[in-house]
Amino acid sequence: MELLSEKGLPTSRSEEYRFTPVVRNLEGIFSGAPAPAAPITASLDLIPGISANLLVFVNGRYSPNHSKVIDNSLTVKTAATPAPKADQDPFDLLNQAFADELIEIQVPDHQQLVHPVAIVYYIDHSQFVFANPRWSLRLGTGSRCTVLEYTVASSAASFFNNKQSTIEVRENARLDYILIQRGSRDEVMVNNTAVWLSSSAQALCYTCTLEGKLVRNNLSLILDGEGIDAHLHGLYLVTGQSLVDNHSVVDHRKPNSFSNELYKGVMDDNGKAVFNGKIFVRTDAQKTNAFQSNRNILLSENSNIHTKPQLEIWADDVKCSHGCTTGQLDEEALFYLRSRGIPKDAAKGLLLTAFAGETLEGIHDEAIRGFVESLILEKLHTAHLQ
Amino acid sequence: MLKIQNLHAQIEDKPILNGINLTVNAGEVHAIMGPNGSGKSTLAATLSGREEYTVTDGTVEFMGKNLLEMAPEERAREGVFLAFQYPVEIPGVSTINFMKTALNQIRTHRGEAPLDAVAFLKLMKEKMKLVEIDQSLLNRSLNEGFSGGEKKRNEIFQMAMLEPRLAILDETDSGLDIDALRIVANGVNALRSKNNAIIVVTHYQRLLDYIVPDFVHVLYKGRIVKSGTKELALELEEKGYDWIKAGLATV
Ligand SMILES: Nc1ncnc2c1ncn2[C@@H]1O[C@H](COP(=O)(O)OP(=O)(O)OP(=O)(O)O)[C@@H](O)[C@H]1O
Ligand SMILES: [Mg+2]
Repeated sequence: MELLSEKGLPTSRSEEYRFTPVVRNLEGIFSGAPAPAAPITASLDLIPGISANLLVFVNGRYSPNHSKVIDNSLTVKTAATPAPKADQDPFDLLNQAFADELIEIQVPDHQQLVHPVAIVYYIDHSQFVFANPRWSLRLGTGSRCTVLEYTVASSAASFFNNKQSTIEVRENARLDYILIQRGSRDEVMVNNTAVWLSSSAQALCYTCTLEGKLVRNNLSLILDGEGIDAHLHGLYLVTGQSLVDNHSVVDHRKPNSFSNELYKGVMDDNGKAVFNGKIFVRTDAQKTNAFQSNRNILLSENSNIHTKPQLEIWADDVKCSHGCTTGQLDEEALFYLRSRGIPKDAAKGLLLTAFAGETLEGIHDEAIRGFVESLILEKLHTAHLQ
Repeated sequence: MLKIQNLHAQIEDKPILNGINLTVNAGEVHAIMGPNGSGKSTLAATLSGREEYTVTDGTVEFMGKNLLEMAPEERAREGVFLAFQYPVEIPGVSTINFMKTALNQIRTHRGEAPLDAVAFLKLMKEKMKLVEIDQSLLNRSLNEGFSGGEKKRNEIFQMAMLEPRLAILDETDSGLDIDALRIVANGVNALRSKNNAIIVVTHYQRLLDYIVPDFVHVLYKGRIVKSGTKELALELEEKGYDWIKAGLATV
C-alpha cells in the first residue's frame, strides 16, 4: 500500500495508460468493502457438456466450497501474497493491497490433465464489487493443461475485477490459456497476466473480449528458454460505449524460439480499442522468429482503434515482422456474396465470422474451440454488427 | 427476358454507359465485344446491382420486373448471375460453405425446400464433374491463392450450382489455357436451354467457337454501336475495331 500511494494509480497522463482511463471509471469504489457472498444460483459451468476442474473466486476471494477439482493430479493451495516490489504495475500493487491470499495451482511433471481448469470469477450483485483475485499456475515439466478463465455475474451489476496472475510453463510443457471476457456490459476489468516459458514449452494464449465497459489486458510472455513455441491470439468485438485495451509484451531472452502474435478487432457504435504490442529480442536471443499482426475492422464512424507495434531488437540474427491494418468491411467481397443471393446482413456475418475465426486456430481442444466460436457467432449476431 | 432501354450509368460523376439498348430473349446467347474501357464490365456490374454505379437514366426489365429496383441479392434470387472478370478472394469463407448458403437462399425464393447436407453434396459432385474442378479447391478459402484459371472455373461451377436464368460471363475466357477453355465452354453449353439466356463478354473469337452466339454486339464509349450475328465476331477478329470507330466518325 505504501508503494502504491507513492506511485499513485495511473491517469491518462501516464504513457502506459494513455488511452484507458481506468481510474476515472473507478470513482467512489474505495469506500465500499467487498460484498458478502450470497448463495450462488447461477451456473458456473461455461461450456455445456464439458466438465472442468472448477476454481471459483467469489467477489475476488477464492471459495473452496464452490470449487471442485476432478483431476487428482491437480493441486490447489492457498498461500500468502508475496511482498510487493517497486517495478510492479500499479494495478498489481492495488491487487496486492487488497488480496490477502494467493491461490497456487499446480500441474505436476508429466501429467496431462484430462479436464480443463476453469477459473471462474463469480460476482455478486448486491452492491458494487471491487474484486482482487490473485493466482499462480505452474505446469510441471512435460505436463499439459487447458485453462479457461471467465466471469459469471449474477446480473448486469457494475464491478471492477482487478485480476493478477502468473503462469509458469516448464520444459516441454504445453499450455492452452483461453480468457473469455463477457461478464457484463458494466464490467471494468484489469487483467495482469505474466507467462514464463522454459525451453521447448508450447503455449497458446487466447484473449477473447466480447463484453465489458472498460477492459485492460496486460499480457506478458517471457520466453526464457530455447525452442519455445508461443502463440498469442486475441479477438475483441467492441460495441456500445466499450473500451478494450490490449497491451502485450513478448520478451525473447534466449536463442531459437518462435512467437506469433495475432490480434484482431471489430469495432462498432462508439466502441474503442487499443492495441499495443511490444516485442523484445535480447542480445542473447539469436535465431529468434517473432511475428506480430494486428488487424481491425471499423464498422461505424464513431468507432476507433489506436494500434502501436513496438519492436526492440538487440540481437542481429533474427526474423521479425509486424503489421497492422485498419479498414472497413471489404465492399467487393460483400458484393460478391450478395451477387450470389446471400442477403446483406448474412453476407456481413459471413465475412466477420471468417475474419474473427482465424484467431481460433491453435486451440487444441476441439470442443472448446467450437464453443468459443459459438460465443463469437452469438455476439456477431446479437450486436449491431450489421 | 431482359430488356434494357436507354441505360445511362455513371461512377463518381463520370458517365460510362451512355444509352444502352439491348433485348435478350430466353434461349439466346449474346456476345458483347468492344475495346478496353468501353463499359462492358460496367454494364455487367450495373445489371447485377453493384451500388457504386449510379443509373442516371433508362430502364431494365427482367422477367417483367424492374431490375433496377432490386438489391443485388434479390436479382440473384430472380435468376441473374454474374461470372466476375476478377473474382474476389475471400479468406476464411470456403466455396462449399457459401454456396450452400447461397443455393438455399435461392431455392427458398423459388419455393423449393432447402437441400440437406447429403443432397447438397450430391448436387455439388455432379456439378464439379461438369466443370472438372477438384473438391480440394472448393474446401479452400474462396478464390484465395487460386490461379487465374481456377478462379474462372470456380465462377462457372457456381453458375452450374445456382442454375440462373440469365448468366453474364465477363471475360470468363481470359486466363484459361486451351483445355480449360474447352472445359468451361462445354460446362456453359451443358447449361444452355430454351429457358435461359447467356451474355458473353469477350475479346476473342476463340471462345465463340465453342459457345456459339446468336448475336454479337460491339460496345464503344458506353453505347452499342454495331450488332450482328456470329460473323461479326470473325470480322472483328480480322480487322480490329478501327473500322468501326472510323465509321462512327464519318456519320
Ligand atoms: N471504380 C471506378 N472508378 C473510376 N472509373 C471507373 C471505375 N470503374 C470503371 N471505371 C472506368 O469506366 C470505364 C469502363 O470500364 P469497364 O471496366 O466497364 O470497361 P471494360 O469494357 O470492361 O474494359 P476491359 O475490356 O478492359 O475489361 C473505364 O474507363 C474505367 O476506367
Ligand atoms: Mg471488363
